[in-house]
Amino acid sequence: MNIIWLISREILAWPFWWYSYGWSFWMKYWGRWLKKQGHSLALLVWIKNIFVPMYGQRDIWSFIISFVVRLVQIIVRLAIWLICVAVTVIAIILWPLAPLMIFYYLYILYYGGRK
Amino acid sequence: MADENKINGWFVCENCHGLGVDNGRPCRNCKGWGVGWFGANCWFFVDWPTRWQKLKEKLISQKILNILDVLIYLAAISGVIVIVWYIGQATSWFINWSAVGTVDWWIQPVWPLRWLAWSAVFGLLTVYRLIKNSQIARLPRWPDVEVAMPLDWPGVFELPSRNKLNVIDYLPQEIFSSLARATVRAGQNKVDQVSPEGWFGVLLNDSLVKALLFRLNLNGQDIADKLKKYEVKGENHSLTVSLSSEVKIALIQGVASAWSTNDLPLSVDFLAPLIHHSSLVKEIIYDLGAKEEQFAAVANWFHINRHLAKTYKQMRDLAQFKPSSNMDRAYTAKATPFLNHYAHDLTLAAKNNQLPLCVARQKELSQILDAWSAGRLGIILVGSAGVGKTSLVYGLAQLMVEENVPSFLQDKRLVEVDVPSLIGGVSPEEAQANLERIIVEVNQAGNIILFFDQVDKIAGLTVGEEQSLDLSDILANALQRGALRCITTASMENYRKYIAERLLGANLAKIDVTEPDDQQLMIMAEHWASYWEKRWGVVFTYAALETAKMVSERYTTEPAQPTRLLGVLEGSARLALRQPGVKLVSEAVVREYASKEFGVPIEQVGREESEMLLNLEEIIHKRLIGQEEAVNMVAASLRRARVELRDTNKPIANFLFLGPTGVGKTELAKTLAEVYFGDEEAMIRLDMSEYQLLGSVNKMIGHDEEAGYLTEAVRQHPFSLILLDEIEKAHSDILNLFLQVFDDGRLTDAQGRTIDFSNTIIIATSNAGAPYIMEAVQQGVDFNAIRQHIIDNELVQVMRPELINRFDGIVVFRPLTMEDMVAITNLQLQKIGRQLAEKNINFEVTEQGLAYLAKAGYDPKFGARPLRRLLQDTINNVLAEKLLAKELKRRDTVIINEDGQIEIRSAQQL
Repeated sequence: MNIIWLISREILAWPFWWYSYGWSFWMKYWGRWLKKQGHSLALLVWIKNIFVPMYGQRDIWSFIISFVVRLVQIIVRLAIWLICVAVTVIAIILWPLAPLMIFYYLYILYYGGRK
Repeated sequence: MADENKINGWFVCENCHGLGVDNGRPCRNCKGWGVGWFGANCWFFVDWPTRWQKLKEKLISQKILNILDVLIYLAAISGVIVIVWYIGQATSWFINWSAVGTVDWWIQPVWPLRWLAWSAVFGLLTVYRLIKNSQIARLPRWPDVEVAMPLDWPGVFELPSRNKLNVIDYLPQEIFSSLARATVRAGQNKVDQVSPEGWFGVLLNDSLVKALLFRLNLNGQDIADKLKKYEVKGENHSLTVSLSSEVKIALIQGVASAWSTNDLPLSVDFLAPLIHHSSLVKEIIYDLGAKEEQFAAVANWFHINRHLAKTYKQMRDLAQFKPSSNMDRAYTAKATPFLNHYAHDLTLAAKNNQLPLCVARQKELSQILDAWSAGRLGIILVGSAGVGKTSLVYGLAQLMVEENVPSFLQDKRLVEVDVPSLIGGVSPEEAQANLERIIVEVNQAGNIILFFDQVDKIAGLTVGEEQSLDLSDILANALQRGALRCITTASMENYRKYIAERLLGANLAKIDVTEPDDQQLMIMAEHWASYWEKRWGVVFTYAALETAKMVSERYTTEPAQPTRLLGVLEGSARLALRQPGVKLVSEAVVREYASKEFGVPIEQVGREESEMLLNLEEIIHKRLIGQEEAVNMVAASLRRARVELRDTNKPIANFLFLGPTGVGKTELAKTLAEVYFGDEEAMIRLDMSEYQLLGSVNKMIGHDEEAGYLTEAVRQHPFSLILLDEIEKAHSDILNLFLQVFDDGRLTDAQGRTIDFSNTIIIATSNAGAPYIMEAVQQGVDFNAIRQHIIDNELVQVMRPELINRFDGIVVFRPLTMEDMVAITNLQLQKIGRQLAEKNINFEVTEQGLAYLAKAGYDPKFGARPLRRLLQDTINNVLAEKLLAKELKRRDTVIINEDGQIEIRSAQQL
C-alpha cells in the first residue's frame, strides 16, 4: 500500500508541479533564450556606436553612409528582437494553457462533437 | 553539558557514541544527529530515516516509477504514430488533404483522435517526468551571516536554521539510493547500523565507482568477494537501522570535499573517507596494491574533468558571439592587411577550438590582467623553455573569446606576430619599416592586442648610422606613447641578456612564469590525459599519471615542467596505441616508454632480468677472476638501483678501487659494462692523467659554446658507468667537481644546464699505495689493516679527505696469485678456443702448457697485463700464419703443449 501511495503521489503531483515549479522552469528557459538572442543581436552595441563611423573611415561621406547603415541595422535588429520577445511571451502563456486546451479537446471528443 | 569530543569542528555525541539513537529512540543529547561538523560557517549534519522498511519501499517505488516513465513516453509517442496512420487513411496516403483541413474532421468522436488527445495528456506527463528526472541535486546557498562555532550540543541547537545543513537534502539521487540500499541490506541482515564496509560494498555496483576502480587497476568483484566473507549478520529484530558514526562522518566529508571543488557530490567522493574509517576495507585495498590517497586523488580527477567539460561548453557557447572576421562587433575597427600578412589571430583560433586549453594557471592569468588594469601596456612573461608561457597566452585568448576580461579587452583580437618572418631575410631597415607599419595599423585599428613570442629576437637588430636604433626600441617607443598594447615572452637568460637593461625592458611589466607545483602538475596531467583519451581512445590509469610525474622529475631536467611531464604522457599514450584491444596506458607502459626515451632501465624488472640481477656475481666471475669483495659490492648496488631502493639524489654508487696495476680494476668496470649495459665500450671512460692541468676543468664541463666531454656524455646517456682511471693524477680542481657529484648527483655545465648524475655508477681506480699493498700481502698483513693504512697514509697525499669520505666503497684489489693467473690464462685460452670453434677447428690445452703460459704471463710489477701480449705473440700470431699458409684446416686440432707452444694434429682425410 505504501508503494502504491508513493507512486500515486508522484503522478498526482503533476498538476501542482505544472503550475508552480514547471512554469517557473519554462519561464527561466525562455528567459535564457531571449537573453541569448539579445546578446547575439548586439542591439545596444549598435545603438551606442550609432555616431561612430564604421571601418575607421572618418571622412564626411563615410560618416553619413555609416550612420544610415547603422540606423537600418538598428531598426532591423529591433524588429527581430521584438519578434523574439513575442515568441517568448506566447511560449510562456502557452504553458499553463496547454493542459486546459488538451482537456477541453478531450471533452469535445467525448461530449461535444456534432449535435 | 559541554561536548568534549570536538576536534577540528567535529562533534560526536558522548551519549549515543555518534549513532543518534539511544535505546531505540532518538538520542536526547544530540537530537538524534549523533555526529556533526562545523565548518565554513555552517553546521553539517545527517538526518537519515531509520525505518529501513520505508526505505525499501521507496527503492521499490523508484524502480516501478522508472518503468512507468518508459510506459508514459511510449504512450505519448504512440499518439503520433496513430494520428499519422489515421491522416494517411484520410488523405489516401498524403495525397488528398482537403478532408483533413477542416475543424470538423478534427473533432470527430473517433478512437484515433481520442487516442491522440490521451497521448497529448501523456505528453504533458512526459515533459513533467523528463524535467523532474533531469533535476540533479543543487549546491547549497552559503549563509552570509557569520556565526561563532558552538561549544556544545545546546550551542548547536541554537544556531540559526540557515546555518544548518542536512547533507541528505543535497545528495544526488544515485547516492541516496546507494545509501538506502546499504540500509535495507543491514536491516535484512538484522544488524542495527550501517557499517562503512556495508556502504562501500553497495557503492561497488555504481558505474562511476567502477570507472574509478578501473583507473586504479582494481577489480571490483575481487573486493566485493572479500567483503562478503566478512559480512556480519545479527539478531536485531527492530525496524530501525541507523547509520554508524563512521558512515555519517564519511558522508559529511565526502559532501564537503565535493563542495570545496564547487561541484555536486559524486559516488566516488565517499570511497576515501569510507576506507579511512574501515580497517577491513583498508586492508583489502592495500593487499590489492592501492592506497587510500589514490581514491581521493582519482575522485578529484573526476571533478576536474567535469569542471573542464563545463568550462569548455561555456566557452563554446560564448564563442558563438565572437566575430569570425577582423571586425569587432560594433564594426568600428579598421582593416589591417599588412599585419595580417605577418600575423596569426589567436582569438579566432580559440573561437574555432584550435588552441589547447590552458589549465591550472589562474594565478598567472590574473597577474596579466592586473598588470594591464594597472595601466601597463606591455607585459613580458619570463620563464624557462617548456614552462608554459605560450600556453598562458592561449589561455588569455580563450578568456577574450568568452569576454571574461576587463572592459578594455572586450571585443578585441589577440594577434600573434610571427617574429621570424618579420625579421627573416630582410635588412634591418626593412624590418624596422615593417614593424613601424604594423604598429601604425594596430594603432588605427583600435581592437588589437599584439603578442610577440620570444621578443628577444628583435633585440640586437640595429639600424642606422653607428647602430643608433635597436628594433626593440621601436616597440618600446610605441608602448611609451600608448600606441598599442602587447604581451611578449622570453626565456630568463635572454631576458637578462637582451631586454632587462634596455628601453624595452623598462616598458614591459615582467611576470615570472615558474614551473607548476605538484598539485598544478597533477591537474594538468589529469586534464591532458582526458584530452588524449577522447582524441585517441586510450585509457590512463592513475598509477600511470603518478609514474609519469615521477619519471619526468627524476630522469630528465629539460625542458621545464609541465612540458616534460606532458611529453612523457603523450609518448606513453602513443606507445599504448600499438596495443591490441583496450589501449591501456598503465604504469608499465609509462616505464617502458621512459626507458626507451631516457636510456634508463626503469621498466618493471622482468623475470629474465630478475634472474640476472640475482646471479650477477656469478655472471661477472665468468669473466673476472677473484676480487670477490669488489664484485659483491658492485652487484649489490646495481640490485638496489633497479628496485629503486636508494637515495635518488646521488649517483647509484661510487667506488674507489685501489691496487697494483694489472689486477682487474679496469677489467671489472668493463665486465660490468658488458654484463649490465650490454657492451664493454658502453661506459664513459676518463683517463684522469689527461686532466692534470688547471684548465682541464673546461675539458670536462665545457667552455663557452663547447660542450664538456663528461657532462655531454652523461647528458646523452644518463644511465651509464663512469670510469675514472688513475684518479690520483687529476688536478685538485677536477677532484673538487666530484665532491658535488657525489653529494648532489648533479653538475652544472658551461652552458648552465644541470646534468643529472643520479643514474650513473662511478668507478675510480688508483694505483696509490700499490708497492705497500704488494709488500703487505707478502707479509700476510690483514686486508682491512692494509686498506686502513692506505686510506690514512697513502690516499690522503693525493686526495682530500672529504672526497675519500664520499666514496660508497673503497676496495683494495689483491695482487694476483698463481692460481688466479692460471684461471685468467684459462679464460683467455677459452676465448681463443671459441674463435677457433667458429672455424670448426678443435682446441686443446695441456695442464702443463696452461701453467707455463700463466707463469710466463705474470709480472709482479704489471700484474696480468703481460699475459695478453704473450698470448698474442705465441698463440694468436702463430695461428694466423698457419691459417694463411693452409697448414691449419677445418677439423684439425690445435694443441698447446707443455712448453706453451702450438702443435697441430691434422684431421683424417674423408
